[in-house]
Amino acid sequence: MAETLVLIELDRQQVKRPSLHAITLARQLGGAYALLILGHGLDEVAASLISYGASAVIVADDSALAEPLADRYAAVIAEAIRQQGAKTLLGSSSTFSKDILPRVAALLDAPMLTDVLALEKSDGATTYRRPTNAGSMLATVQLEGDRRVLTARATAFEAPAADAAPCAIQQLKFDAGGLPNGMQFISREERVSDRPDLTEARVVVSGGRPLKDSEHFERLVGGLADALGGAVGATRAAVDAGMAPNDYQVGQTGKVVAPELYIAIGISGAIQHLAGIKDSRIIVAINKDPDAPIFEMATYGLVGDLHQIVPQLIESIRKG
Amino acid sequence: MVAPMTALDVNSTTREVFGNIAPWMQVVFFVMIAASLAVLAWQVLAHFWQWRQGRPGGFEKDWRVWLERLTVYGLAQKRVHKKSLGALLHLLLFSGFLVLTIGTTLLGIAQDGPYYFHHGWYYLLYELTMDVFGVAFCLGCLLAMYRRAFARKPSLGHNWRDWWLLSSLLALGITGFAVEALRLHYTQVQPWLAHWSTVGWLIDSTMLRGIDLGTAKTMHLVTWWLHTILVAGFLASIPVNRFLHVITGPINIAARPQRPMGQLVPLTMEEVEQSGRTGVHELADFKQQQLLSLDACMECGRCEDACPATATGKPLSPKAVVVDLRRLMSLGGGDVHQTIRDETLWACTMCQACVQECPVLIGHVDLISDMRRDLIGEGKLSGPPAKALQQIGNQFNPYGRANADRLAWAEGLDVPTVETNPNFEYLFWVGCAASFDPRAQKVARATARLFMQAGVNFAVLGKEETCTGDPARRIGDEFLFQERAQTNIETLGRRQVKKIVTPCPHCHNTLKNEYPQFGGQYEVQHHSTLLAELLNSGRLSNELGETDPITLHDPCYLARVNGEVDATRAVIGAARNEQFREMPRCGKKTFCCGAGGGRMWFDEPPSERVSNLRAQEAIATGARTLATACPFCLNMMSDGIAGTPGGEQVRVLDIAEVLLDRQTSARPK
Repeated sequence: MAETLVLIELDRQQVKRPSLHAITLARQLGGAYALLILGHGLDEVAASLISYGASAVIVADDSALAEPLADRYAAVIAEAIRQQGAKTLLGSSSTFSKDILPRVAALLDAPMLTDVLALEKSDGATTYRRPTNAGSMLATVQLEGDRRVLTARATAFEAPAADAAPCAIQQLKFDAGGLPNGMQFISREERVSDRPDLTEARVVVSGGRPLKDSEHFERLVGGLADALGGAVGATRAAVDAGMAPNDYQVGQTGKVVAPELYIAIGISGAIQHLAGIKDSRIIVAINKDPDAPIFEMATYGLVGDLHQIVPQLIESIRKG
Repeated sequence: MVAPMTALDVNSTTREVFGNIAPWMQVVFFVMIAASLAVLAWQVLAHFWQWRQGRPGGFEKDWRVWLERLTVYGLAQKRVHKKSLGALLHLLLFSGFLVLTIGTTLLGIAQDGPYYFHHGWYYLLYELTMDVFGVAFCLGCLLAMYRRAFARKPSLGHNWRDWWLLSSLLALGITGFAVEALRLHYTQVQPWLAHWSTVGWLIDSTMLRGIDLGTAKTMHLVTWWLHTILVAGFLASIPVNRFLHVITGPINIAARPQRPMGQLVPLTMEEVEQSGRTGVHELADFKQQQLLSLDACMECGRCEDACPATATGKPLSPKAVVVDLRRLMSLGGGDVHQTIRDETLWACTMCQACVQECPVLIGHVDLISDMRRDLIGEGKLSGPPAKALQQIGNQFNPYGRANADRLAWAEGLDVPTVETNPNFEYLFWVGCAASFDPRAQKVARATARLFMQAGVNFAVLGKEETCTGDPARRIGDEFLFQERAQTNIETLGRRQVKKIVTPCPHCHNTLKNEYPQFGGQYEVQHHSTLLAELLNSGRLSNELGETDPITLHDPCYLARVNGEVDATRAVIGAARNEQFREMPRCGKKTFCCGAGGGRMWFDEPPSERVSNLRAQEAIATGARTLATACPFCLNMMSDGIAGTPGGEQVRVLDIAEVLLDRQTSARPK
């Protein structure tokens, strides 16, 4: 029996470290807490989690849970809460949680609060703090009812120490055959990239609509980025046209970058894109239209055909 | 054989009214009609009580405005007229229904009043008029049926009650004529007299030939009762079908508050303290007039046809907003957000096309704005638009740029400021877009250069200028808007500003229509009107030179909302330019670019971008230059044109840039 269940995220038998930070919030909440992991072939992972001061590590291990499909994961998590009689389910703020925990909250008919940053207790009542209005304000929220689903922002809570006496590992009993099967796992696609993260890179090379297709984009924008050891970005138009994946998008919607060097290839410079690069130290623009607005913003501008200039640039950098 | 008419003959002509109806039947008739009118009144009263749950007021109080609007939008049906089957059939039904109702009422007055005037020339003309409009009425019904059966316009909506209504209206018309024909037949009216009741006479002389008088009399009695029962049933059922708008429509037309289209209603701190809310959360938070307006809707769908959000598949139809709120009202009210999704409210560009179309003057944008305010109050906005609001609050511009950089656009231009030229005539209000968006900065430069060329005595505020607050107000952050308005009004007062000129239609609208709500009164001009004046007075060269094919995208907040469509055309020399082409949707009936109502800061998948639709329309004109007169339209249309096949050849320019090009090319080299 535990007051709180902390859902620990896995990436194929590996613990996702940020999800451990929710344990710190569980400790602040007080009362006994258990850790919950779902997946397949979890003996080793479970053993690595026994020293976090939990009352138990609860393991839902079944081939049906090998991939994180929201409908069956939600059913199993809800079942674990019922069996444990837990009042609080804690996850961390992540796409995994966004996908699965609202379903759990619905199954339990419990309120859900995302992105918890801190909690306060006074007169026996617990209030939570979370960001609102795009992070410009903090809301202080009180929840009704005796059960709740929370997600914690990993950055708001420290990583917990793993120095407690080992606890037991319990296998969760559930009917694997009766799980919902509305979703089927088809395949997993990952981009293996040794390029630096877009938001942290010192050099970012971005491309726009004139790159025409994903092949040109990868060869020219990706090629220049690799030559400079930089990350790759794209405009909304390039993403819309399917030249670059969604998470490359830089701008008002998309990522905000502030590298030391930003190279804009075939980017006209709409204000929506500039919103994402305005804090870059040096902006270099390559565009065939001398009137392109990007030149107003650029430190250095190069007027010409990117299909000629960029290969030359790549070659001379590689030689140099 | 037509007997010669004498004055005496004509004067004595009249007809029987209840000739065939026994006195006890007449009593039943009056009781029936009174009962159905009572049922009608009772139901309308029930609606009245529903309106009363709203916050008091919101009504126009000036009776002269009522009269004017009832004449223009009620009797003259200004908003209904257009070239469409729907408009034609409405004209027939409206005029038919109006004349027949008045005629029948007059007959009742003549019959039971102290003075019997139903004879002579009046009577003859009465019969003819009633027949003509009876035919119009029946024709209207038939056309409406045709439209429902074959030209099924989706935005109109279709259900069985519409067929029930149209059938009973048509049956009313047909039985009316049948009663007339049978009366002519059994009273054996002389042909010259019968001719005045043309339709009845035609039926009598073709279909009723050879029927004996007794049979005709019985048939008359049966048909008369059928007609009467239909009338009574129809009257009682008005409130449960589309016909309710004949009552609620005129009330809303008269009652809707009179204010400029581009002006939203201010929210006061007192109101918020009283209600604990910013905006509308419960249905009862709407003003009574707004609730009344919901009942005025007859679901014609014109708003939906004009809506850019509907056209791009966003989850918003202005009609559905009204109909959904009305359903909520009929269920006793409650949380509006249970009925109207947040995405629906955010989808609105506030282009006012729906408001402009609505024949009964419903204020869709006000409804949406009130509900948006509540969403903002509840912290329901996130992402880029929320960030834009935050930046208006912190940096005084939605782009989050340092306000000290406001004059970056003017580098090297030697633009006069309020410091260097304190005795300016015009304050050049640049606006955030033209100050910070590098594309729009070129517009500010072009405008300033034209002003300098023409010798306009102007100045800019520089870093003293801040966002007017327009995006904040449209998105629903009323107090952020008011904060900006107060600061700017103070600044403009301190600098003793009387005339303002701006290249941004949104700044223009807010400065002109909304700042007076907070005590800021200025003479505000869009740069198009000042440039047109300068051309007119010869202070700028009006040489046209050779131009490419050119078209104009009218900004909503300039053309539709503030009625300015001539100056923009004058600036690009449209009237004298054979190469000028209008888009199908132009002038006050322009189509949004997609940036209004704060949508500039929302992300949309390409299929939902209004600018792409509009770009196709512009490219189809064959124009090589798409001129516009708004920095947001410029941004949106540039993107739309660049992403649309055929757009590679088209330049998107502000009218000031088009004009400046002409000035430089016209000058001898």
